[in-house]
Amino acid sequence: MPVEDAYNAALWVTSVSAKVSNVQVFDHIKEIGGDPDLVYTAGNSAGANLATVVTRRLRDSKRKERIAAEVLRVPVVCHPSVFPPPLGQPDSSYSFYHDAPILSTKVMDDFWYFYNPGDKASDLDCSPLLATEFKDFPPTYVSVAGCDPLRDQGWAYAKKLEEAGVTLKFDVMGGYPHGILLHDLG
Amino acid sequence: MWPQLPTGWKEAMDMFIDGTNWAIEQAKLRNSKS
Repeated sequence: MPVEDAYNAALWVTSVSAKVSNVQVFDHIKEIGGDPDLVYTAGNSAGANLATVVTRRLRDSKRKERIAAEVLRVPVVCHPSVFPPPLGQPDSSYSFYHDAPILSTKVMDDFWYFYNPGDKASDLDCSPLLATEFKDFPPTYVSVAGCDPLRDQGWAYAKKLEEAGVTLKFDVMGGYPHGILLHDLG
Repeated sequence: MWPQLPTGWKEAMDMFIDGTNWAIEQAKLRNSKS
């Protein structure tokens, strides 16, 4: 359901003419003063998952609208049950930072429990890290936190994008736990 | 692949804002070429 909501929202924003939930909608991008060629997806944590899933879905649709760039901060990109081997190792961030503040591995597992992908954990709508191609993906900025259980999957996703030739910028907020920028420490 | 680490919260926030601006500029650049 979150994926459908996010995708419908992207269609609403980007579309010159589209059907969203069986309602015909037109020209919202002009209504809100936007440029249809410069629509971005951006998200934090699970929101970053939705952001990159929407980018792929729109790319794979028959619609002409496309996402111009992605901003993925501390992204969740893979369900633990389908981790590629390196992410399941004891020294991976998902294990090593199991008791990290803000987001521990236990809390993350609880989030997955409630997200409940069932037998679709390996679907790219749930685990975009498992994608094998990124053709025509837009420029992407990936930022991970150094002491975050999600660090290694964010890094692995960035690495895949880079190897696929996607224009990429990758940063590590060294020493920080997940979601620290949401807490105003400035 | 692993850049210089920031030293504080503000530096981390600045790094994120820089990255976001980079993405916006890359999109504009790509659009101007197409």
